[in-house]
Amino acid sequence: MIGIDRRLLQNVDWPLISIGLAFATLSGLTLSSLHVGRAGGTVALRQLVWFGVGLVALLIVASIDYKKLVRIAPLIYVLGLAGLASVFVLGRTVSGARRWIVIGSVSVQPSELFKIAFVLMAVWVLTSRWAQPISRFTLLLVAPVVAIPFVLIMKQPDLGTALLLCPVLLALLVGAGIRLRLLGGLSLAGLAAMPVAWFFLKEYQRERILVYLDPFRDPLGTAYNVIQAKIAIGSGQLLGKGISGATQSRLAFLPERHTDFIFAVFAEMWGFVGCLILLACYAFVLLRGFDIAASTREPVGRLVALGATTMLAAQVLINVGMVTGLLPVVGVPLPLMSYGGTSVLCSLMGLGLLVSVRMRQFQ
Amino acid sequence: MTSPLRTRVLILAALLAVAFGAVVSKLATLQIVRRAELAGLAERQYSRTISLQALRGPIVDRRGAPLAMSAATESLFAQPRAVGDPVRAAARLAPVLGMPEAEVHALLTVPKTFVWLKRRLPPAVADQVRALREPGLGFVADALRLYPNRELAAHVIGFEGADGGLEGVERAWDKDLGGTPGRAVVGRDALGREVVTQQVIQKPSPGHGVMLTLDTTMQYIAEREIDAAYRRTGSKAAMAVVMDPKTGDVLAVAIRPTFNPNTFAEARQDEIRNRAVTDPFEPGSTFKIIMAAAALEEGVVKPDDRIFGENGSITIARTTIRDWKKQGWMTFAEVLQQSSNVGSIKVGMAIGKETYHRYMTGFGFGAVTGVGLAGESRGLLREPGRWSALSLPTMSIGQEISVTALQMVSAFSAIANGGVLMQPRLVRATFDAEGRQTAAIGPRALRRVISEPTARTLMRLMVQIVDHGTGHAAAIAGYEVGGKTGTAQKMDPATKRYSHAPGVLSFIGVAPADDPRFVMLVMLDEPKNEKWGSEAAAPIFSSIGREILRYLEVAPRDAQPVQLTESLGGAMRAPQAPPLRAQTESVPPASPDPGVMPDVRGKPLRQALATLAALRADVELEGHGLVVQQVPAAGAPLAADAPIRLTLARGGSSEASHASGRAGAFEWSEARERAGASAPGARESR
Repeated sequence: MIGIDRRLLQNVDWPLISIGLAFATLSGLTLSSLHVGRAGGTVALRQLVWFGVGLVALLIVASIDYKKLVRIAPLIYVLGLAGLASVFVLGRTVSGARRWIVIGSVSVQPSELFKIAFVLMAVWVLTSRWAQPISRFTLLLVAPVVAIPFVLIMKQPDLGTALLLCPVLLALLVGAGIRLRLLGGLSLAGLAAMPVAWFFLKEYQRERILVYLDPFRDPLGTAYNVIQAKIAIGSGQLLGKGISGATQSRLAFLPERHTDFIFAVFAEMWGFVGCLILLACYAFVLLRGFDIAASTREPVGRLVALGATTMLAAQVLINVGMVTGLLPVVGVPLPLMSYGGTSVLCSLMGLGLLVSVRMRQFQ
Repeated sequence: MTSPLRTRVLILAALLAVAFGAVVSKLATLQIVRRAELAGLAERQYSRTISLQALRGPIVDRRGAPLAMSAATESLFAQPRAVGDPVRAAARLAPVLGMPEAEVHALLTVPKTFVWLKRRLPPAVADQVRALREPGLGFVADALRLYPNRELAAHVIGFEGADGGLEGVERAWDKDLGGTPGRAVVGRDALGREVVTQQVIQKPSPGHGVMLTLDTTMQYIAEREIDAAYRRTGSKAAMAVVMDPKTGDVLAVAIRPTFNPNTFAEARQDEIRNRAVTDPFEPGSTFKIIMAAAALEEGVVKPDDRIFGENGSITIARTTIRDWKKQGWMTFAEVLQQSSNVGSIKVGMAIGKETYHRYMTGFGFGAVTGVGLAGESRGLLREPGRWSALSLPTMSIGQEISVTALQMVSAFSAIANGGVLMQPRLVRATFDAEGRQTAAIGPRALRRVISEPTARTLMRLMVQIVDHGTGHAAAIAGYEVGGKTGTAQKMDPATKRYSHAPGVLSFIGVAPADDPRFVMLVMLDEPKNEKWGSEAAAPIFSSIGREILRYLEVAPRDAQPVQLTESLGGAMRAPQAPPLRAQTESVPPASPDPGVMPDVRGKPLRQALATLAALRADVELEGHGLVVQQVPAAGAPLAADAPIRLTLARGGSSEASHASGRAGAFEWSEARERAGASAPGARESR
């Protein structure tokens, strides 16, 4: 933590850091009851280790001036793209998708790491002098920043992560001062592109969307997850079944229960009240993030905070929306809850960016 | 610029809030509004409810000897998806279960989450299966119905199938015997992998026991004799029904052909049928006693009234009925002694249609006895209005009417009981699992049919039939026996005429006449080798009756009180202790097939001897403990004088060892052997 100004320490956002610890507890507790694969029970411990690693990363990110990070964003971005490309060479295939590369005994998901790189790069482009003022030209400038990784991630395939990039970019454009007419035109273009995109989707991805529109289309196949998640959530009722009573999740009726569908497990264990508490934790982090963005006058910091917050918000909403059946199933983990080292690490690094901006708000 | 941008951020935050609101409302829908529905779905997914069979109550004889009992067993199920290696599991299970390996493998690989592998395993086998420690297998408590005496009283006891009692008392008293099944939930995960819990929701409550009026010893005596007669005469069927006339208690119902209720699935319907209540027959001459009862009670005739026998034939409505022997003048008593058709018809016609019909219904003919067994026949007794000119005369000699054996025995019991008809009783009491009586069914007098003096007169007339008439073969030395023979031709269904082929030969009698202890009907249906009732049925009555009287310790009429000469003790003792009673008292005879060596291996000495007691052979013993070796071998014919040699050992050989560990009156090896190898399989029906 070289070069940390003593005055900065006074502005460290301790509530934000402690909420990270709260998530570590919730995630660990929820995972502790699940017996996943042959490891059985070690998942929670591994997750806690990742939270430890993540908290260190958070502090490191926070200690570095975000402006320096944005300045080297193109480098980080290229490294991120290289990571995305590497899965096609080194990648390990899990459930038909090449999303992981294995380094030693740890498997890393480059698309998770790329989320940070993407936020920094987008901010870099939008705050560069070529982008001022925000116009159609800016859009052309920022288009490849999204398009290249989008294609790479779609190829893995990982529709969820790819789709995440869009709301983050939109939020950044809004935050950067895009004219509303231009934003409207962009949105219309996006809507018009959707039917075209249909033809680029994989068969199973189309199926998921059809199932979303009609859940009883294939109750034992694609819709199985959705139905099982609903049963798990609903059977949690008001107060939940507790850690040991969450039969749906524990008895493996619920696929992907420790990763993308962990919210259903949580809902079964802690019920409606527990869900409200969890959502309140997220709301706290996100509102804090927006508050930081709103109260930061410095444009780079404001966009970094906005980007990091939107990235988090989009993941939470897409995940919870998909698990509760509000949205089609796309593979997006629940930040700070789902099992997965890279995801935890990146989410905490995102919080680190917020802390970093907050610390330097009044410099 | 700052201000509008700040507003924009706030708008984004507001959008976020809206999205969160949508999520919360969705959660509220699932977790509060639809909670019951979804929780129900969850429950159904991870659990499977299994019915726990209640232990069926035992059926015991009048002194508590078991006739039907349920042994606790376990049923083995598999959760095929959880079985690790079906090939290996099948190879290891097949020899233990005694099933073909291919069959086990097929069961282990069916695409279901739950499959019964084998129902009702003996505990020893269940333990062996457990020891294999194969994944995906589980047990549920179950019960196996066993009939330890095999064929003994099979028609009365009936049997139980997978859905409860199917025949006999098992069926009639199914509600009491069956108990209430319980429910258990077997938990499983999505892969059907792990039986997480086996939670008993409702414990099964065991069924009540039923105590019959049957006496195992009398039943055994009757069956032994009836079986021998059935074989000797080549009859289509043979039976003996014994009743206590004072209470209406059915003491024995021996029927041939018979079946082993342990393997009822292999039995033919004609073996299973309880002919004593389901099959009406024309009683023939035995029915002359009923006619006599009506005639005497109505004062139509007195025993000493003289009747002309018409030299052996009488023609009514252009039909000639003949006697077996030309008769001239005879008293009414002699009419009965000689079983004169002519004399009986003359008296019968004097009674009159309506009156005779009233007496017949009074004795219980034409109506079910209400003994409580399914499929009971009413017999055939037409209303007087539908009688032909020939009906009254033929009914006087027991034709044109059909009766069941039980009706007949019941009617004669009324005569032996001083004229009061008792309700035939098969069940004395029910008792719960702790042995406490839950219901008692006492003797019940239905009605007085004839006066006591008339009943006494009839008894005297019946004694004369045995002493001087056609029933002489029924006599039992030392006792006063009364009774009547019967021969009935059967109506040929093709020609509608009485055929000359041998029909139903019967003897019905009472002993002792002065203080009746039993009424017994012996009946042979279409015997091939013997034609006359007096020659076939009466001696069977005699041999069964003799042993029953000894068993009941009825002192012979001419018995001298035994002088107690023993100096030691000098306590009063019963005048005579017949050896048979000592042999058969406490343990029911197990082998209904004398002449063939039963398998006593694996049994403790006491039980082995009880089994062998009925054979009345000399038994040589060697060693202590359980029988490990026997000479002759099981199933071998027994020579008349050859002794039986048993070798015993403590702990026993492998054959005997599994029987030694368990206490109780009943052992598995024995049960299995008695039940027959195919029994558990045959009882499987679900």
